Amino acid sequence: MSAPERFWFLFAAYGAIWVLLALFLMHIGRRHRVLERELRALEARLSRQAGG
Amino acid sequence: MNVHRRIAPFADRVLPLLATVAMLAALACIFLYVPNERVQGPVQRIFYFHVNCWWAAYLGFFIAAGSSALFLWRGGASYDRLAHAGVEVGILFCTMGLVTGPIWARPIWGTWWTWDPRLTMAVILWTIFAVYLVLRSGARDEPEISRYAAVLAVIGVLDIPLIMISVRLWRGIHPSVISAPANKGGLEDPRMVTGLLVALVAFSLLFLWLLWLRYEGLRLRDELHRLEDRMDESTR
Repeated sequence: MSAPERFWFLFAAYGAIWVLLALFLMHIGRRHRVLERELRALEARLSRQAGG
Repeated sequence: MNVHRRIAPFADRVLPLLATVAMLAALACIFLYVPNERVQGPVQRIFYFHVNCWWAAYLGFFIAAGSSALFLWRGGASYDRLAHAGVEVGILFCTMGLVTGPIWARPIWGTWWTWDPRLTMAVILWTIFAVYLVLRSGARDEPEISRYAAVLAVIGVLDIPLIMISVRLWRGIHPSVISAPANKGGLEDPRMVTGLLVALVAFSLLFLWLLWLRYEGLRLRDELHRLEDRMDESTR
């Protein structure tokens, strides 16, 4: 296998790591957004209870 | 609680910054400072991240097993949360290790995959902790599920010593670069050792930051569920 061909494998390996890390961070971000939504729902319930 | 308050400012602000700087330093070291390996050429540079992916994966699974053991022994939601976070982050790095390994193997071994003992054990490790995450995929943590998952984490981590010794025990083809002497397939240049160590620091910091992010997410989720339950009780 030639040197330029081997470089592709090197970039593929490092690229895969960054893609997986980005996907994980996106997954964390989505979970935090769900938490935020649940928190807002709870706040709304609280304010309804306080009002009525 | 006090420990959490003391850690939080560091973990929220300083840790991501340190991890980013260390990762940039590791990349500069690996691509600009470390020399090409004589036989493998540039592909050998995959090694510096590949090995550290496994280091971070093992760290995550050992933390998960230790916290799970403490959870089974003493109870306490924080141990359970730490175990859950450890597995989530551990499986990320385990996946990275399993992906980068075949990319290295294709130009060096001539095949993407072989059922070598170490590789097989690594797939088993991934599967065990993937099952752990499936067990815990419910919206809420049932106490029984938490206990089953903790037992699975304690048993699952026993696969790691087997992975470590499998190369010597079953004479697989996976290289043992770190334990081998420089003239027998080990790191032949001191700059390679430096590259590996800088990447080790970077991966450790990245691991700690991700662990903190997941632990905090799980803590907030539990806190929210506790408040919802209290509200439900008060409205009944």
